[in-house]
Amino acid sequence: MSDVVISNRIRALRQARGVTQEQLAAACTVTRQTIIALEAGKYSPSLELAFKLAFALERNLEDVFQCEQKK
Amino acid sequence: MWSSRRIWAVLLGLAVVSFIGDLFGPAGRWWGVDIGATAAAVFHLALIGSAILVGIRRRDVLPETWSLAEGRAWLGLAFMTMILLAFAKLLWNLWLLPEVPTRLSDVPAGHFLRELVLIYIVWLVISQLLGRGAGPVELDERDLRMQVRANRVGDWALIAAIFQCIMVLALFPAVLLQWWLAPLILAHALIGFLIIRSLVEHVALVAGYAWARR
Repeated sequence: MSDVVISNRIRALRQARGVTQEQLAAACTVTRQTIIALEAGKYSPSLELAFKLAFALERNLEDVFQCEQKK
Repeated sequence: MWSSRRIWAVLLGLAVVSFIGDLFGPAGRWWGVDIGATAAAVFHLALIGSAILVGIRRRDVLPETWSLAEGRAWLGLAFMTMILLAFAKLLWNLWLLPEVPTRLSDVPAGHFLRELVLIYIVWLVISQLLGRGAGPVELDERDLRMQVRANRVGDWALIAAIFQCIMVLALFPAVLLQWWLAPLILAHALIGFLIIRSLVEHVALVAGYAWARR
């Protein structure tokens, strides 16, 4: 069992930039369904995809993803 | 009004059911209708219909949350099920032969091979049609992770089948295994293991996607 919880602000950041799920998916070379899963918190991306998302949203990695330790 | 997705699911379901009817249904006529020929006709029509529907409404047949790879996994599950059923029927026909076949030409595999070619071609066509207009990315890291996990489950299924085979060979008296140990029957059993492995992999794949979405 993982003892950390990873959450993200992809949906909020994407909407703030006026980017659609399709556009973000194309920028990160993933399917739209992966963006849907990420925004729903159902998928933890690889480090490479996490950086791609941060670059596409023009933010730092820690602005996009947050990690909390389970107590 | 039925959605394209529901019509497609019904057509694929109808293809599987009519295929089972064609393979295992009673021989002869029922109320003057040739059951085997009718089931075969329904099977072919359902396959052609589902391919045409995907060609026309490819964006509507898969749910929005399904990736192309998930759609193809479900398609693979349906077609692998049909292949396994056709193979089971072939084994049954081998069992019914008065003598164990010793040459490849003795195996009544003509019907099975024709069905196999048809199933494979339709599978390929529908899979390609689904891919058209699916966007620039057909497969990404999430799909690959799912496939790696499903592949591992398939490997474990194959190991379990081989282990079971070892146990049977070790524990059962040779007299009872005489039929199974004939070279051509053994070869068919090994092909069966590979088909089961692939089917288990597809089951694990669709289950993996469903589990990830829960």
